[in-house]
Amino acid sequence: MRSMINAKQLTHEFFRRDEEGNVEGISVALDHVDLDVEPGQFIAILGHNGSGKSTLAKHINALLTPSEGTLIVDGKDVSNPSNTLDIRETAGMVFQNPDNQIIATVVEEDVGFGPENIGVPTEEIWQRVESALKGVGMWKYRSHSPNRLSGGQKQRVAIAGVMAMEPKCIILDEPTAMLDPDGRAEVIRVAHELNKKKGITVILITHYMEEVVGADYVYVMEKGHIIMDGTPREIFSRVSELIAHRLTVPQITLLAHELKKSGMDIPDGILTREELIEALCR
Amino acid sequence: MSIILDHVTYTYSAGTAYEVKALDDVSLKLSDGEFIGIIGHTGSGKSTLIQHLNGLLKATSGAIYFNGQDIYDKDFDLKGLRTRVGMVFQYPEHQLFETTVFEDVKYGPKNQGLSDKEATNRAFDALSAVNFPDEYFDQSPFELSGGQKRRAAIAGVLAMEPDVLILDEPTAGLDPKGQRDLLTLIRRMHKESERTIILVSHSMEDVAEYVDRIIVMDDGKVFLDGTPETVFSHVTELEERGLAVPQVTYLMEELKGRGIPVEGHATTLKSAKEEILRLSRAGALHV
Repeated sequence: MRSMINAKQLTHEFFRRDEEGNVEGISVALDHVDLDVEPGQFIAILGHNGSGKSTLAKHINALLTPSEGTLIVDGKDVSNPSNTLDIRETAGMVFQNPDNQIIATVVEEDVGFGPENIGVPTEEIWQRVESALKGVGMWKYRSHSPNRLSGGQKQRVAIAGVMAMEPKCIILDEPTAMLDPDGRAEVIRVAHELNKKKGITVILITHYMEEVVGADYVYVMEKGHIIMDGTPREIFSRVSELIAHRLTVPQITLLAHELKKSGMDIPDGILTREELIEALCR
Repeated sequence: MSIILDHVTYTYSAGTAYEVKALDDVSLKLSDGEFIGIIGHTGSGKSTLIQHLNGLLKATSGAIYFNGQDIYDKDFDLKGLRTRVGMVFQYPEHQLFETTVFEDVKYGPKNQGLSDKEATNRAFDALSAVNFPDEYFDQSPFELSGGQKRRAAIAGVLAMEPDVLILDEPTAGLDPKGQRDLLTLIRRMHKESERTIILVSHSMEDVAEYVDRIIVMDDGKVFLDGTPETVFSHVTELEERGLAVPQVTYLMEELKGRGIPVEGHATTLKSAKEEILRLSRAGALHV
């Protein structure tokens, strides 16, 4: 099967410039990253601020192109400018701040903006808008003004806007960082539903550990490198390493880890309360 | 220092079709040196409540007393109150504006009418209180990392030496290490200065870990008010209002549900760990 996303030795360098625009130095945002995502996978990328995870995301829909190495999205090389538009239709992106992504004054018009822009016939635009808004549970708000919605609802509208482009892959770049706990849960639930029901490949970039528990595979980034990768259970078994890398684990995983250190017989990589209770009462 | 709210009600758009009671008959006493957490879901009245404490909003009815003085009295120095009750808003780094970090922090005390020398001393103290590295004092605030910007912005409020410090979701948008560092710093500032600190937060785990008293807002009313242990023993009532309890509290409740003789109400990782180890030593985990 063809990979949805395949990065080989992907490197991205930024020039740092002084006030006159002279190059002062070079920052390496991505440093020889290898990564492979199969169609239909739910992938999480973890890392603290400045680890390179957003730079990686921006390559996947060709907002940035590699300085070195290659990145192939659904068979197309992002370094080739003639592929740019195709790649942006294949891989849609949702950003952190919902207020920066919504442009229309009515929800359904905002969702229809993307398909209209690429010349989809009017009849079909409305079908896509309906299906996208139903997919994120926002159909009943179709004639509302976006500025009256909660943060979680706005972010779901932004996701619907991407869905209406019928992408094969959605990249969510810290979509919940500005939301309250209810809003966060809504957005993550919608991402999983789109993945399961429509088979859309999801790349979720986050620093909330609780949000990666349901992913198929997790990459942990630091200083432009992938420093760990594995299933959530494998990653969360390495508690001390994660903490050393400025990250943390869910409170229950941390409690299990602490109990084990105190001499109790508890397996590594406990993710949920049920698992911990099972281990305690066995 | 104390703040007393006596039957405070605040109504938005009074007399129109959009009338909303954002605060509904709230009575509270906030005493000297307390570390208080305010929780509640979006729209519960948390932000409206804190904006009353320094007189940014004026109650529709009811009274507020600062050190026994009615803040709505025409002789009361409302401008002075705003520096005695310091407010750190959400994303405070959006309010940085000076050319250097040091000048930005000095802006508040200078506005209070202090001399340049006094303002400089205040800025030094405030920046060291938030562990801000001195090699960045002369840097533009816009060139700092997210965590550093946040700390510089908090220093700007601290430099006015408020008696009460209110922080509205101070950790939003920071990475986990940045969040832990900032909360540890706030706890240390509370211990060292004994000033009253009010922390508005969405994270049940954070308030359970750091504060001594929790006020739960719901629909403009004070729904619960007490220690983390008492507040988080109301699991069902909190859930009915769209709130939650810390993960470890759920765990202990579920163990109790299985007939295990769990004692007390653990709300922090440390207390849950100690209780489980106690149960384990007593051989009480297997029923």
